[in-house]
Amino acid sequence: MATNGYRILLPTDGSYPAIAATVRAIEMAKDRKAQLIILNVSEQVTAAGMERIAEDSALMRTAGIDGVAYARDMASKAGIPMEIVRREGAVVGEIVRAAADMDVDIIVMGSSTIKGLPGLYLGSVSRGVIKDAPCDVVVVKLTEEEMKKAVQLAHDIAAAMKLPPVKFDISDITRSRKFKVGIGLLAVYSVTYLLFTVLGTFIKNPDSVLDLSVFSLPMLGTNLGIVFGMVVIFMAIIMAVVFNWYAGRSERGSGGE
Amino acid sequence: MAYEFKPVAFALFVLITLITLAISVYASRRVRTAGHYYVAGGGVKWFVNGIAFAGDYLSAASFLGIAGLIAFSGYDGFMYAIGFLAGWIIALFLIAEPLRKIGKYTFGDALAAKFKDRRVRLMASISAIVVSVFYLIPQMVGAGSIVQPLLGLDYEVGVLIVGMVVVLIVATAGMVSTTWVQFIKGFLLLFAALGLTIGVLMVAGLGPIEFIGDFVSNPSVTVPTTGGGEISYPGEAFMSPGIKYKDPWDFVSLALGLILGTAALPHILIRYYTVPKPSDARKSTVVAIIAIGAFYVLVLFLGLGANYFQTLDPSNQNLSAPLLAEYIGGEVFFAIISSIAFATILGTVSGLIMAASGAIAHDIYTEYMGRRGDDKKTLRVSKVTAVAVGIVAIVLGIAMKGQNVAFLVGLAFAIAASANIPALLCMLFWKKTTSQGIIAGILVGLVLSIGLILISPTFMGADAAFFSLYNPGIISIPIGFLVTIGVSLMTQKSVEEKKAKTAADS
Repeated sequence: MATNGYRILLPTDGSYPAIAATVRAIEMAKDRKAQLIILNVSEQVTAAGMERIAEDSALMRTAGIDGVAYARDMASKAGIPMEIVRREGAVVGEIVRAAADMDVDIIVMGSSTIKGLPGLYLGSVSRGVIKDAPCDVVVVKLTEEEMKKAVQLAHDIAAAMKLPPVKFDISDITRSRKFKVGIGLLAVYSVTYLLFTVLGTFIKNPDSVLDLSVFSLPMLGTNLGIVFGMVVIFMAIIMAVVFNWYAGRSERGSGGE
Repeated sequence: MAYEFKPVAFALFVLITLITLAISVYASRRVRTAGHYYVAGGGVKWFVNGIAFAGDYLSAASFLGIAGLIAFSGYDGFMYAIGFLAGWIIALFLIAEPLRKIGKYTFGDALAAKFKDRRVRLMASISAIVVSVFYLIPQMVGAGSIVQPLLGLDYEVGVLIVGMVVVLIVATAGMVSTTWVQFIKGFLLLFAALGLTIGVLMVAGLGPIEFIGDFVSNPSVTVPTTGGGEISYPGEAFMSPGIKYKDPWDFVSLALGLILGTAALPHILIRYYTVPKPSDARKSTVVAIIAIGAFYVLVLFLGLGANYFQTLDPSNQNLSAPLLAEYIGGEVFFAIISSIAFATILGTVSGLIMAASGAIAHDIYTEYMGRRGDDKKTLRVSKVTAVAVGIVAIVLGIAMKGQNVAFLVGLAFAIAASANIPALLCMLFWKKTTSQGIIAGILVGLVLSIGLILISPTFMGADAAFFSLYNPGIISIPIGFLVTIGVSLMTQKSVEEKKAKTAADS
């Protein structure tokens, strides 16, 4: 299908509102003979696994499907020319920047109105995009009937999609020099820790009338126990820093990760 | 010791807690929705994550528990600090990168993906729930301890209030990101410990080495007892091992549990995946090790300071650091320290309850029982679970009144290490591991470590105990390995037959 140069940007993360936006964006692309640009922004938020799950449920991102794959399949079924763009960064900023970079005519997106405390916490992406976008923005509100259809379709696709098999081959890591250096450092540290434990508990101070541990031997104004303990603590810090430096160097040497 | 309600301290406490929450809301909102893509520029994330790591790890155990242990048992408490740090070295060198490479975010997910056996997932999630509950107990004990001097309320009421507040947050509001809370809290904790240490040294008028030396050469270090009396130890005895643990094997057992425990805690390992690149994950671990190591050096001064100024409550060791703060800096400083400790507990408790209810809702309900597709029901299951786990934690927290928080966390570490470390290491580094081996190893590690704790002096009293060591690790961790390896070897044949069969079929 020939296009008339009209470009629609569809940001999607696989959430229900995004799937609703996908449905609408494809209708619009058909009507206007437009080109569809599918955008996925992976956020670099420092959130732990459970927090991700929590955020997913707050954003209704629980369809469990790849939003980009869904939009791609829908678009190719409808015969709409498309382009897929993946970016990393803060969601709103990346959407706005992509819209400017790719000179799109309109952004079609879901309304991520989040209710309750998570809403206060997460803020609204659509509101941010409306504020800063260089072009028109359509925030999709589907009817209940349309939404049901979209959700059903999303579930069907999710069920049909097979997750790629997990690779359990970690031999490239275990064979790497970096990992071996790490094991070496770990061995040195383990021996020190073992020595610390055994010395502190089983070996007695020959001078002590109280039958105390050898750790009670005076040393550097304190005693052996405090000095050895501090050595074990600072050894961990130094090893971590040295390993980080070495690993960083070897990663750069091999041309990144 | 009787405590009165302190209105100024309480007002400050509420204020600081609210400010912490407000800052974290603002920060996480900004990162998410700000119109600029260079928000929190690329170089900062691993640092934030590293401090959040430290904030997550330095729970009530480190701040309240270890300081208390050092104040009452001298060097034996310092052993905890060293062991808690040592665990990170194992996580950094041995576990982090291989586990990340597999691309599964939790221990249970990784095991289930490798063995494709639903029973493995069930076993791993049971282990996650049990470890979470055992880790929750000390947090509850810490919470009850803090509320006592702040509000003048009974310990039991304190545990109940904290438990209910957290359950309410988790069950009604849903779940909000805690990374920024952990980051701010980690930072505050480090500064508080530094400030308190400087205060101790200034009030005592001694340099850091002189201060420790003063203890070593002190002819009698006194510790109050619950009966109203006191015990004196010669300084050289107080500053070397043997006050709390008379049996050397108890120390070895503790040391083993601590070094292997960190890498086995599900809520810690999860943080490896919060930054996008493996190199960032490594960098944040390094930041965490520096922060945690520095903190444990400072904690030695907090514990000794509490003893030096005798800010000790014999019925509750966990109050040593807050009471020290009150002595050094008055009510204001006391309020600051208490609110930091409280924020610490709140963050850790909600994280643990989420992890436990997540294990039940995600792993057991959705994956094991196969109830997919109904998100509302799954969410309800997770909320009901959160309430149930919260109630269990409140009850156990009240039952464990008066126990030292760090000691209780030490037990949680031993359980985690016994159940999870053999499975984790065998899965990663030993090709012959079978799903039966994993299931048997986790089960035996879990049952044995908890069983040994139940018949230890902690529960049965020093004289009646069937098992004389306080810490089960020295028995239960090696047996966990033996069972995992043994059962795997015994079930090799059936795996090979299956392989041969599938090969013949295809």
